[in-house]
Amino acid sequence: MLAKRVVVCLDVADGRVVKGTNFVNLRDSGDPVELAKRYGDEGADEIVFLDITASHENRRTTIEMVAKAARQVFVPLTVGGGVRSVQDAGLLLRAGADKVCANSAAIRRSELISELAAEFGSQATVLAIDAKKSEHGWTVFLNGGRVPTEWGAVSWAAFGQAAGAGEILLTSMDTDGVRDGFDLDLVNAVCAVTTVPVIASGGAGSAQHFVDLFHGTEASAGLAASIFHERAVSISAVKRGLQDQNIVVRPA
Amino acid sequence: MISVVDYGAGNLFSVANALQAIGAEFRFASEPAALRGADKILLPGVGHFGQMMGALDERELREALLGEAKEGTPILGICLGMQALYEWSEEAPGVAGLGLIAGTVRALPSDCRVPHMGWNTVRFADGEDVWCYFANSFAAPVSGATWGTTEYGGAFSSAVRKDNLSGFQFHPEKSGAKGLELIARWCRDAG
Repeated sequence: MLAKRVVVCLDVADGRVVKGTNFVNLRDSGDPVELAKRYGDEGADEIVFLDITASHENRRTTIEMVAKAARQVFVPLTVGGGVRSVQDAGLLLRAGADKVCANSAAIRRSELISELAAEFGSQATVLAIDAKKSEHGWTVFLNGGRVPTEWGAVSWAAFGQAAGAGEILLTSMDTDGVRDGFDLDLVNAVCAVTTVPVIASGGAGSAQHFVDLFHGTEASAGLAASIFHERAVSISAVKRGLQDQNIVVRPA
Repeated sequence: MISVVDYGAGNLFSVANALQAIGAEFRFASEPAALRGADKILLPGVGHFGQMMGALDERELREALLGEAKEGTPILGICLGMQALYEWSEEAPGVAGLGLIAGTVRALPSDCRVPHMGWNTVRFADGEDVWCYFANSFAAPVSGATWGTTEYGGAFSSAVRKDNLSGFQFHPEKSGAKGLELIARWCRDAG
């Protein structure tokens, strides 16, 4: 049976992991490749690198980081941040990424999704959505959550799937960093209009939150960053918690 | 020396990284001459069946692969590379695959979330279960060539073996230590 995935996200700026990492035993605690390798060894089902600077000057650094990680980490790597064209995506995939995430650029120019899917296949094309609760549902934001758009998260997810996205990486801006659980209503609303896998992101604070996610929604994966970086909970503890509730996972 | 077929496949370098990690010697082969006399051939692939066959034809690699297959050279197809060993695929009706294994690759059932993305178990013929990473929307039916099966809205062939041919529907190069071991085993045992 297909396992529910526990995905680790690394926010990267200028080739370094940012956002509170607390690996006391790691001398170079902010090295994304070392962290990715460690998480891979600890049982992460997938690793997401998000280039949060996403400037053109940083593309070279990001590509080199992906290439270095791909030589040492033998679990799937997804890379997002600053993917604006087929060429951007091609450089990342050839460096060893398995999937690329399009976010803001896809909103500005929605053809990007179908271009990526046509060139690399839907299985390599992830649509990342940053959504915030609004009066009528959820509003999609771009530029790392700074700029609201006209799109609702549910209709944008449906549009993205129709355009060729093979997966949705869905982040709730309301629960992100709060550690009080995933936004199950948002995940359910998006799962209801999609047939591709949905990765839920934002709000994980404990193993129980992953249990709630997989009991309460059809999400295929749950993503977290800081709780793993700060060692609030380990990947193996999350997976044991899921197994105890008869949720199928790949043993860590 | 393993020849890794280079026709522009997206996972070419991931496969190369895995071969490097297990210490296997390999070279890239992007033209028929580079395939002739290969000890072993690895055929990677991600993306679209029709595009892959087109890319092989463009580089005149189809005939070369068929020739080597006939000579008995061990060939391992990974993901779309495994699907290419079949006659046909529903992904690209009318586009002929290599036809080395009988049958048509089918779309996964529509009541499942597709692509089939993530880790699933492969039950090998010897009874061993191995967790492997998948990213596929199409899959080969269970047949006489089946070596391993996986359940997703029904069983499909996640590993095949027929004479000198092997295929993995999953990505062994992304399936952790176990995946690397499967590649190493093929390098050692095939042929």
